[in-house]
Amino acid sequence: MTTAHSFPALGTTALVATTSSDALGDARRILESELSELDLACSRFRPDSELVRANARAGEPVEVSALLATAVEAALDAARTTRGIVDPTLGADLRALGYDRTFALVRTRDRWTFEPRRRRSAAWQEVEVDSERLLLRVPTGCELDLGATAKAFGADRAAGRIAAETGTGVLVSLGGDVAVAGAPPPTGWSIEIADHHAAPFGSGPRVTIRSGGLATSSTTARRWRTDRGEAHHLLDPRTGRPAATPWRTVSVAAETCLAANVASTAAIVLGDGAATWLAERGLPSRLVSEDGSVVRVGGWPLEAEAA
Amino acid sequence: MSPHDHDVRRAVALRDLAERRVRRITVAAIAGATALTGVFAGLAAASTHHAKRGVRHDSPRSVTAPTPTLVPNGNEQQAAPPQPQVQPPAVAPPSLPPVVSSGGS
Repeated sequence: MTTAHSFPALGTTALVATTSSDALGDARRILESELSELDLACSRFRPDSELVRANARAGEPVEVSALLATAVEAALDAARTTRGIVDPTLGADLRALGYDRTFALVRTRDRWTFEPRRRRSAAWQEVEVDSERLLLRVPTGCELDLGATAKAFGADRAAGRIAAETGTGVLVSLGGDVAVAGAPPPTGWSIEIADHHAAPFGSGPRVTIRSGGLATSSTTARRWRTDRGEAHHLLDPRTGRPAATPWRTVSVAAETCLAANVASTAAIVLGDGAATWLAERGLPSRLVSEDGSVVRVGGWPLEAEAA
Repeated sequence: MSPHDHDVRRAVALRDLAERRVRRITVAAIAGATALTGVFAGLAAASTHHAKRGVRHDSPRSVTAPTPTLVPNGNEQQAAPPQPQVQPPAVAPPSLPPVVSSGGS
């Protein structure tokens, strides 16, 4: 019997579930501690965060914590493995589009006048991070945004730490990016697939996973109005604009939540080539097009739709 | 002068004329071959020099990592990196309630 606890964090919902009810209290405390550290290191909106400080001093090396250095390395690794499709240097582009504060505040704003900016191509290659000396240099004219990787990175870290410290089987979800660790329940962890992680249960198919991670990216979440139409937060680094994509939602299962989230984000941006790209990597994936039709690749179960 | 002497002199004259022709042709052939050798040597030298200069000019650029282009939509030529085998999700039994939803956030 699993038990779970959820609470707001990182501008979304955090949830921790354990196979042992006795371990839930410790698991929750560990998760809260992990998220508090992650927010202080990686937030783009907290004036006291390390990332904001490093962005403000772009062009010069800045001392950072081991946590931020590792998170930036994870983001750069995502850029390398996707050949720049998942790009951590989109911060200024998101700001230009109006995503310049926590999303709760962006959503309440009536309309945003979008001022297009000239985007430097492949600037992520110029980001320098030294994990030994704990130095980070953001390229001049760039702003890091770790939104595409930080939650999944945090979910993996927290799940691993909870399993190691409590010995329980654990599931951690940060806004629908799910990581599991330790011994799973006998039936596996049951997860419902939806366009939005906060949708009521019953709206989508259900699957189980026993290890690794499962992540979903969707253009239906985090949408807001600008003078040039509706925007969403999944930007195409080739244009610096919201990705024009045939997919509204992509879910991917992978060895880690981070790998799953990188792949689901890349799939949204890649558009027509996404199914092939995912299949070539052997990643079980479910892609939902704008008209609701579903494409499954990599062994994603067909029967799940009937649930 | 007997007819025999006349024939001998004529034969000698013809021989001398042929020798002069052969000499002229030989000189012309040697001159042509020398000229062609010069031309080819010049071409080869120019070709070698160009290649060396190209290497010298290119080497600083080769140190800088080339800017990779993004994978265009639908690009089938990009080699996929090797991936560990990922266990696909299984269908959840209808009686098993979900712990959480995975969706956009």
